[in-house]
Amino acid sequence: MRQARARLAVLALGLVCAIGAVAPAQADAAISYFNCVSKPSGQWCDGRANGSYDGQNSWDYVDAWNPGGGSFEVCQRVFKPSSGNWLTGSSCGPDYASHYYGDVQCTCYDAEVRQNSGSPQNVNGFADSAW
Amino acid sequence: MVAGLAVLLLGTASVTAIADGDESNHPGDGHPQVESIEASATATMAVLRSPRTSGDGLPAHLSGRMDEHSPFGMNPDLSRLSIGNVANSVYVVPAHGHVCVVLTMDGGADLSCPSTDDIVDGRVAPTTVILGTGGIAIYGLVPDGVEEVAVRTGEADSLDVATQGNAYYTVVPPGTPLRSVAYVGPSGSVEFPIVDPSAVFEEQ
Repeated sequence: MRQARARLAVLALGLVCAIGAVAPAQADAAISYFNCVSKPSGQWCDGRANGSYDGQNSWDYVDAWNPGGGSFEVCQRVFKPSSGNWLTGSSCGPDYASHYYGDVQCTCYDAEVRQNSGSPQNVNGFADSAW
Repeated sequence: MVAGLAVLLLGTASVTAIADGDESNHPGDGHPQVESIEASATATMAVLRSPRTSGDGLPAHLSGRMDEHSPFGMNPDLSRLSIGNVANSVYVVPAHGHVCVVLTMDGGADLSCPSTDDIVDGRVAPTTVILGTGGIAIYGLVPDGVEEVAVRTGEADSLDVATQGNAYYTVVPPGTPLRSVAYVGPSGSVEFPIVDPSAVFEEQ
């Protein structure tokens, strides 16, 4: 019985060590879905107004999309509120736009989306920092 | 118990933040990667009928990330190079009911995925993106038979841009007032307004 417990303890220790070896490579991964309901045309949105804001991170990939019918232009950007600047790569496309920003280090950015239809529309966003 | 602990720890480590926002209709969900190019896409885009060569592949660091997201089931393994430049290249990447267009830039890439139906009809609006130089890149997809597009800027300026591999790409200086992209295609004359992504409207 004592030997079985000892083996179990060794096995558990081994598993914890293995997890420890894997986890650091993935520890920075973060994802965010955010939705902007009936957002006026031309206004950037990070989802804060709808309670779906996930905070600042080193977002290196952002999707913006039209979640409903019709067709209109949507845009995405990665914005640093403390400086008022955004990363190179802000873009706009028909119903869907996304961007891979490469290596983003600072965990100080908001992922934002907007739509340019000329009238209020729903526009959704997704971001991750898995680069 | 030990296995349960391991699963719990792994789950915690791999994703540190998951939002409760609206995930509905996310372009990356519910679409397994396409394994071949859809017939409707090959029928309207010669670049997708051409044999794939080693030069058609996206940079590996990008294709790996694109495999993770795979909007509309996009498959980088089926990509074609439409316009090759030193700094920025345009690739066409097949998906489900859509064809994605990728512009490489600054170690990353910009991406849009118009529907195949819109490409067939010649009704795809352009994509605009701010480059590292501050210039505004304007790019998009066209069906077979569209040889050039007109990029209209300022009060009355117009630049004819030749298409290549069912795509077009041009760059205008920072701050250029943008008006539209126009061309004649299967639906006749079409014109799409274009917007500077860095333009400041009313803030949130």
